[in-house]
Amino acid sequence: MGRQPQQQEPMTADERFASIFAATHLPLLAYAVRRLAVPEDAADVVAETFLIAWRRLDDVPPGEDARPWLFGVARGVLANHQRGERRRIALAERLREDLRGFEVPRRASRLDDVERAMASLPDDDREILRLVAWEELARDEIAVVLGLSRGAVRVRLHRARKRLAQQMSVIAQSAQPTTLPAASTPVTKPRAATWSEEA
Amino acid sequence: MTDPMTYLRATNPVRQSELPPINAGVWSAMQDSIASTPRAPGEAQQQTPRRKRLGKRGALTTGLAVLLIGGGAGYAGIEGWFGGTPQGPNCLADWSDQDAAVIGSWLTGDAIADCDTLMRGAGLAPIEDPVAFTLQDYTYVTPAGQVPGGAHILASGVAVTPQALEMRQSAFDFVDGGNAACRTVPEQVEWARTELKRLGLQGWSVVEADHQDPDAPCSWADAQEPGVVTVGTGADPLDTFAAGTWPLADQLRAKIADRCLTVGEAKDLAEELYMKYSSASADDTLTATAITDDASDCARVDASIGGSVQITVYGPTAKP
Repeated sequence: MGRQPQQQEPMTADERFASIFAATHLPLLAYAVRRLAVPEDAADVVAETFLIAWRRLDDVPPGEDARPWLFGVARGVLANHQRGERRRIALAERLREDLRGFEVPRRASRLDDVERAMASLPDDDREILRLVAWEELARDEIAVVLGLSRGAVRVRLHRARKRLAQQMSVIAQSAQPTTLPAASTPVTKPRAATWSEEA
Repeated sequence: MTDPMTYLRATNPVRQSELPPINAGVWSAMQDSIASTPRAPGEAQQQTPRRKRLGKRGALTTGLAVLLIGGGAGYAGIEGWFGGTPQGPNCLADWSDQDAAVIGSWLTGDAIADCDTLMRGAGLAPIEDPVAFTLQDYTYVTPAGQVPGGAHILASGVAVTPQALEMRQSAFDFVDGGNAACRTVPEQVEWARTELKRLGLQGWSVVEADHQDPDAPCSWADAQEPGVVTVGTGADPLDTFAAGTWPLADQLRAKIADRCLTVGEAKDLAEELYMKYSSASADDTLTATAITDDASDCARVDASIGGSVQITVYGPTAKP
């Protein structure tokens, strides 16, 4: 096969955005669906992430690094979403419609030891492990997503894997499920007083 | 022993190939719509990333223009309208300088007081001569004299009543609220009704979300829409939150909710417990929000978590 001529980076913002969009919209959608309880909410996360990418197009790294950069943005959008700051974006409505009713496939292993072990890990550990296992990102890409140095990613990943293995071992040995502290605790509160303030 | 990562890969809930088919026109419409919006100059974006959220909640990752896009014609006629967050105050020291907006979650429900806290948390000066108003269901605080036409002034500054705010916080609360236990949807509906009664919120309704997953083991509650508590199926809170959440929940429950403290004592204790039981570094302190409720005998506490923890305590300034 002859050597391919070097491809030119699209020159206009529209062309560059189109190129990024084409290369990343499906991985980004999958990333968001995996992390949300309601799949159609991923439409808003994807749209918001691309809006940010468009507005900050000059910040988007060239080439393959665009994908982890977008994951990093999506991670922040998801954090806001999970904090309850949910935005409904009109331009996401059609995508939302297409996602409505989609049911996440149920894996036989979904509730096995590894998921329980993951649930016991800190958020940072879980995310870095999922970026490897689910997003199949390389160390360099994870560094872009998390805004860390490559060395820091290596150390964190090593420690997270070690903790995951330890937790799996503990769970396998004890076979005792972790219980929710509040499960047997009364969840009523003392009656609130009335306030005089009104909106 | 098989590598745990191999097991973890097997738990991938949705592989890309398993996504539902999306019409190509949906994607192209989204791309075209986004590309038709104004794009800030890159250099300016890099040099003046001034729009902020409350400091410890992390960097703002979303452009406020997001909501303008979705607004359509209804918003187009409002000069200077740019959106923001509908779920908290939008604080602008200069209405015309949208990039300097500070947004955040409701802390007390008093827009002026909350903007003061948010601005200080972002390292900015409080808004001078602040006025709170609503516009298109969003709440803003700007200096007097900069209120745009069509705005509804909030004379008291209070955008969310204390009772409504507590209902919101309680719905997300993992100490003894909506996220404290794995409830079925009927159980969560009943819990929400009990909460509404406790808070004296008459006229509110409890509705079930449109989309319900019959296989989901638990449920969630959301009270961000005024007058409505929505309940839907969801994951077990045990799986949703980091393991470290639960020792903190235990401590907040045992040392605040189950005892009789003043609001000041509860605030100090909540902040201390957060530092002790979270993985926060020494310089990443949490400031709990204290809401005085002198008609109550003892303090109560709500704690929610998303990207970070938000703790609110309510109670009397002195013991009875």
